[in-house]
Amino acid sequence: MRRPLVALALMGVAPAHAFQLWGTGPLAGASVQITTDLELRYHQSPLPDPGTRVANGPFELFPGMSVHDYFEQVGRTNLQVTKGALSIGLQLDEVALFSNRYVLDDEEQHSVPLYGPGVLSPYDDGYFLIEKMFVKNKWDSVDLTVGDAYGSFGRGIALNIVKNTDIDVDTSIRGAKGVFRLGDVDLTTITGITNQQQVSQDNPNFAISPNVAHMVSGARAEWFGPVTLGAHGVIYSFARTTEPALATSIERYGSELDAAIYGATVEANGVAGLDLYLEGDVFDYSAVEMAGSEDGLMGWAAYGSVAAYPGKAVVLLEAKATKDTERITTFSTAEGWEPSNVPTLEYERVITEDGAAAVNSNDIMGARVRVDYAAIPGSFTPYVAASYLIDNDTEGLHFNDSPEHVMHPMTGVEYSANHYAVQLNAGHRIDQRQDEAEGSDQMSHVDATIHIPLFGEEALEVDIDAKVFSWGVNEQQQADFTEMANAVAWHHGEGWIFVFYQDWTDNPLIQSEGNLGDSLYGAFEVQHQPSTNVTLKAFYGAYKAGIRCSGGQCRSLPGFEGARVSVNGVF
Amino acid sequence: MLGLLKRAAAVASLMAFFGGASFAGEAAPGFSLRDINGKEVSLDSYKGKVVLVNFWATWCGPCKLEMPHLDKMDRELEEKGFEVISISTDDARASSKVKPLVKRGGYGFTVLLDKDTTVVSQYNPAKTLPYNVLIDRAGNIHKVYQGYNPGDEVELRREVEALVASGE
Repeated sequence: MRRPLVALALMGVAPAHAFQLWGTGPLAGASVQITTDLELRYHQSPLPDPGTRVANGPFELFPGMSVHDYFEQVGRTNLQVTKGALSIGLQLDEVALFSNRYVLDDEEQHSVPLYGPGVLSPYDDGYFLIEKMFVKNKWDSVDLTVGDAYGSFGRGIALNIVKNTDIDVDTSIRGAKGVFRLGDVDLTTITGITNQQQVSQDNPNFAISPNVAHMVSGARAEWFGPVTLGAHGVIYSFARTTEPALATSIERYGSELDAAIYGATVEANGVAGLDLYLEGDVFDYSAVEMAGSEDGLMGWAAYGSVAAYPGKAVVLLEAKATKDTERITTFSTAEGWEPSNVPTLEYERVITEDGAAAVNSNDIMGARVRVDYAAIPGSFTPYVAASYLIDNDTEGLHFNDSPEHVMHPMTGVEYSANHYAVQLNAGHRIDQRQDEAEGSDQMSHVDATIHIPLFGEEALEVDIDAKVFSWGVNEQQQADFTEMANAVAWHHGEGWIFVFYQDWTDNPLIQSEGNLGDSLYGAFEVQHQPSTNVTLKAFYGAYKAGIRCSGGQCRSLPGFEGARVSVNGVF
Repeated sequence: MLGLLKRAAAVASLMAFFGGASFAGEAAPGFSLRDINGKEVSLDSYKGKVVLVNFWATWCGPCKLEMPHLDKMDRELEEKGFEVISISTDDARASSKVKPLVKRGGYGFTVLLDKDTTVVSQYNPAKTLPYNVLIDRAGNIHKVYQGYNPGDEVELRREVEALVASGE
């Protein structure tokens, strides 16, 4: 069984050449580009403490042995064929687990099951699939894509199914997308069923579940005149796992609609020196799971931004108000992604479990203003920012039983000159409950990156990220805690970087354990770029689990202990 | 276990070997996007010029450190037929932040919005940012640059100047 897995591992690297297609067919002479992202990880699990009672598991069968340790190999290969205006793309994902096996009650068991029921693979501990594929052609006034495409309308309130590799999310719409340019008018149409990334590139792969196909169709028209006017509509039919025949197929088109979102936008640039954007969307829910009743429910969202540029200052004011917009994510958030979301207005590096309420609230309004002062444009820019939101949502997983007033002042600076660089952000957030007896959740935070040239091509980089939390009264009471994620990097010569990572958290709810102490995590990494298109990394150590947010989406990501070697290349 | 380690080493060695392979000379995929003022911009319209396509995001620290150097190059080499096309990969929700960031830096290069991640997915399927693609006058990819550390702009400028001077 192991031989096929080795073959799988090699598939990700074998065709790493750029070349032109041969022959006399329509693709003769086409360019071929290949991007590979290959990673080999050794997952290390702590042994039970001596004296701990272990029953009915591999630790009982193999006492003192690291039976839960395993190797995982993940490969992602993107192939793109380009000839003139035609592009053909294909992404092959594969994962192989070299986990331990043991026999329990006469049945062979895997210490880490790679996939669950419904996922088809000829190998017990290997899985590969064509994750994305598309054919795209570009004419003078039309771009047409058949296969996997991404879609985003307005500010993403009605539709925002895009790639978010920062948190390892890549859900596409598998169907057809067209962009038609008709003079000053752009018309975008998209229809298909969702295709969720099944193999994680950065996170552990285990118990992979089948792709759940939700139907999404939408259209948007924009007129680019003295101002830009837009209108859009998106309809959704979500899959239920209780109806497996529909959950994974194009038959989803034949089922009733669950939700529809309609919206309009106005954008004006340079009006009296201001850049303006306004958007309003209406959410029409017909699914009982979203509406809460068979009569349906309407929600709405409004978002606006104004940017002004007085002298050396840049002022950006954003405001939003939403009611019942998060219900659209009822099904897909369980799968780790969201089809639409309102801009958060938050500084996302500080969003936490409780702060997620201000991201994913069903009833919230507020504004954020940021003022940058370009003292030396492109070199020295301090800023201040402040946000104020009223979060009236007290249901679901929210910690608060009464409405919250969220206040978040921040300041920071960006400086770079002569290869010195400083990027600093700091602030304090207070989520004050309206019922004063319930107190407030508070968070102080600072993050900084400091780059210091030393001598020759040597340089030192220090990264700091620290947060201190204290919590008000809530049903899911948790202890106050501190967490940090720091790093020191030595840049050596051309293309070598040596990094020491140090994480700290005394959050008792954290789903990971430190390798240097209960709360302390340490790791070392070597990075090397043998050429500008290839990056090699070797990592050993541990980092903590935690919530990570990017682009308004948040994911709870697991911690890691062990070793990993990765290669990323464009060929 | 030793066998597995050997296999892992073999895989890494293969990748390192192929790391020397180059995609130079391959055609750059075409695209059309709207800029931060709503004007349509197509890569085709830059044929005959040396172009640096720069992918970045407002949340990306190294991207912001690199931008002043790209702007300097864009201004100083413009008359020799060089242009920077900067593509923001921020998703739609962060679109309002893009133009203020460009204005505060006083950058003069073209800035396009790839709100639905279509173009970045074609050019840069992995997650590395910033990501620069140097394209020659014939519209072919000359070289790709992953990431940025202060000082990297020296080598990038050297390569751009050589390509501009070569007339390719």
